[in-house]
Formats: sequence, structure tokens, C-alpha cells
Amino acid sequence: MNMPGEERLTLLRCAGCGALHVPPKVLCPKCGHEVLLEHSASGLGNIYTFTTIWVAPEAFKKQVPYEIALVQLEEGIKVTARINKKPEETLQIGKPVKFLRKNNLGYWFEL
Amino acid sequence: MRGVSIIGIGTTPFGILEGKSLKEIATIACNEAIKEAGIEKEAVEAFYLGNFISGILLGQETIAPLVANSLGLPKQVPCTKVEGACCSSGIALRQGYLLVAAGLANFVLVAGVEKMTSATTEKNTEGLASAFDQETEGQTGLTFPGFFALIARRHMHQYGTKIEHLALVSVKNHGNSTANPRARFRKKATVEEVMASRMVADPLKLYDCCSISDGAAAAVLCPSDIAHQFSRKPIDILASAHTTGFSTTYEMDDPTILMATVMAAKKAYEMARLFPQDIHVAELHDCFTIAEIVDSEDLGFFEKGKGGFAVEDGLTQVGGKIPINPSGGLISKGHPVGATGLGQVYEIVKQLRGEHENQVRNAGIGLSHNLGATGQVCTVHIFKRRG
Repeated sequence: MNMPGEERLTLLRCAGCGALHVPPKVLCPKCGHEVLLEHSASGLGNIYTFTTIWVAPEAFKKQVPYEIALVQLEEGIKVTARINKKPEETLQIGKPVKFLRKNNLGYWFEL
Repeated sequence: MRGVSIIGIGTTPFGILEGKSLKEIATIACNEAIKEAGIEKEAVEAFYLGNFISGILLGQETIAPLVANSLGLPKQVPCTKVEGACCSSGIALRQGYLLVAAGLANFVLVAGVEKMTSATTEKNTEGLASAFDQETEGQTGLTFPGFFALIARRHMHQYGTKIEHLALVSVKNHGNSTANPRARFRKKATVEEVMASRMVADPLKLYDCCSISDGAAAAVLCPSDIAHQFSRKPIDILASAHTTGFSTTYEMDDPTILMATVMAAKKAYEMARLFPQDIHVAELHDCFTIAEIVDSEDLGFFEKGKGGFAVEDGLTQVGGKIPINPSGGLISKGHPVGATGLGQVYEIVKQLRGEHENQVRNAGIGLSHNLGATGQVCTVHIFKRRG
């Protein structure tokens, strides 16, 4: 799917405790600090777990089947993302993935 | 704080209640609970009604006063809808418990209701998915079967849980509900049937999933010291705990552990001064087969990672070490989401009264565990019969 979107993976880093978060965040839920700075992530990670959705909500019905994974980022936190998988590719826990884009469906990664 | 007891219960069957409205089924369950308690409607001092998606599916909100008016409760009774996804009526029980325990009311009616089968599967999936954070995870098209599929695959990876273990949960629960007249499904299932059913969210198949259902359940609460005046077999609430977990999967350190359950169980055992091994029967939140395995570990019945093997060894069957979901559970009794928590309580009360169709012998202490969304909401209650 070649949809437009953000090409860089941007996280938030708490200016108080340094914790990384997936945006959006109003404040740091760990320490309460109200200043969160944008942090450019490498976009590299691996598959922590994954599934293929066969029964979808009404708005996603036409996209079935589609892959969703929890991606363990190099930076240490996880993010829930769609995986842009080619038909010949198979997903597996631990397989490296890289960030593709972020759009109205959230984060996209590929093998 | 005063002791709180259950003196009356009521329910509809769970399943496809064609031609019956949300208001109608909630009224039927509430009326039955009030009649069983042997109190006058005028004695009810507060009403809490659990419901999750009637706004989305039916366009019907403000349902607590709606049901109260249908029932004919006095107009001075405060009526409140509570929502915590699939844990909605667990919270209704908890709120009623707090009011009676605090001495602010003597008789409180608590209920849960959901009407789902008049909507399509996709519409239901969409309604249920409203419990995801729509600013983040909800955008991806993640579903609840999908959320539990992510947990299942990780559980299998970390602990060697097998796909057959998941299937065996479904087989057990389908077997249990053959005896339960309130259950949606009354037919046994085999491992082969479960494994051959169609894929919903890999690795979870249709028979790994709870079924969309209609249903309502209710209970009447009163102070323990007067409960014997209304019921020959009052059931005492030894513990009531309500906790909060993470809103998104990616913020969980280890999604094979649902922290809201772990914390609610800890609080409930402390409050009841009991240990997991003291529980004789449990109705827990098996919205998916993997959920029953994870819950049974998080509630302390089995060590983390051993839940699937416990099912294989028959430890969770009626007659086993800890009978789990003798009603058939959400998988086979059905899961009318807003009604489920009190549906579980109905089953536990029947067990502790010694009146259940799939009776656990000498059941004296029972536990109910109700979970909402991504484990964002959890209630655990512990009940005891007298004598």
C-alpha cells in the first residue's frame, strides 16, 4: 500500500526522567513531567508477536486479511503496527523489521 | 464497613433472544432477582446497570432509568449505568457492594445487559473495538480476537503452550454447558472441530472465541446481618476488588500477564484472607481460549506458563483441582458483554447454594473474574456460602 504519510519514526522522550513513549502523550505517565521532546528513532526493530486479522471491524472489512504485530524497537519500547507483508514472506517472532511510514492506519513496518 | 450478601438473583438465558429488546431482557432479569429476594420494589434504594455497547449497536443510551421505569422502581431511586467494556457488570456489582458496605443503603439492585445479535458480526467487532485507544492502537484495525491472538502467540513462544491446549479449553467449556439451560451452546465440541473451525485472528479460530449473545443478569444485595431474613441460602461477598491495567498492548512489559487481574486477585485474596488454593469453583473471563489460560495463571491457580498444561491434565474440569467455568464460560454459555460479569455471579451463587446443573461437589467458596478491553478493567469477587 503506497499511501502518503510520515516517513520518519518519531517518539517522545520525557525531559524529566528520560523515558521514551509512543505519541501522543500529554505528560509523562511515569514521572508526571510535562515536557516531552521529539525523539527520532532508528526505525529498526523486531517482531515481538503478531497476528493476521480475518474478521475485521466494518471500516477495515475490505483490507482482510491483514497483519498486525507488536514491534520491539531498538530503543527498547514496543509499538503496535501494521506489517506490509509480501505474499511470499512469512512472519516470525524475532524477525527484524524496519519502519516504513505512519499514516491514518498508524505505524507500518516491513520485513 | 458492613458485610454484604446476595439474597436474590435473576437472569435470562444467554444467546439469541429474538424479538426481545434490551429493555425487556434487563427488566426480566431484574424482576426475577427482586422476586427471589422476596423484597418489595419500593425497598430498592439504588440501581447500577452495567452495559457496554448499546449506544453503538442500538442507539440506545440512558438505559439505567429506562430499565428502572420499565421495572417500576420508585422515582427517588438513583439509577446509574456503569461502563468498563466487558467488565461493565462486574463494576455494577462492585458499586452496589460499596454502597451497602458503607452503610449508605440496605437494598441495592445490580444488573448487566447487552443486546448484540440484532447487529452484524462486523458491526459488533467495530463496537467492541471502541474499547481500544482510538488515537493509537485503534487506528490499526486491531480487534479483540487480534489482541488475544498477539498474547496467544507470545504465550506459546515463551512457555511452550500448544495450539491443542487452546482447543482443549474450548472442548471443556462446550462440554460444561451441555448441562446449562442458560447457555447459548449445548453441544459438545471436539479438538478436531475446534482446530478445523475458520480463522478469526491467527492463531485463534472461531471455536477459540466467545460468542456474540444477548442476555441480562441481576442480583439484589443487602447487609449480611439481615440477609437470613430474606434468603434461606444467602451468599456472602467476602471480597470485592476493582483495578486498572494498560490501555494499549504496546505499553505492557509482558502481555502474557494482565496486571489488572494480578492486582485485583491479590487485593481480593487479602480482603477475604484466603489463598488461590482455597477457591472451590471459579467463573473467569474466557473471552478467548487463551484468556482462560492467562487468567488462570494471573489469578494464582497455576504458575505463569503452566495454564495450558493444567487444562491438558484435566485440573480445570469439574472434579479437578480447580473447576473453571462449569457454566460453559463466555465461550460456550455466551458473552453478552455488559451482562457477563453478573452472569458469572449468577452461576457462582447457584454453585454455592448447591443448585447448579453442573454442580461442583461441596462448593463452599467461589470466585468470579471479569475483565474489560485490553485488561484495562478488572473486577474479582469472592463469595462464600454459610454453614
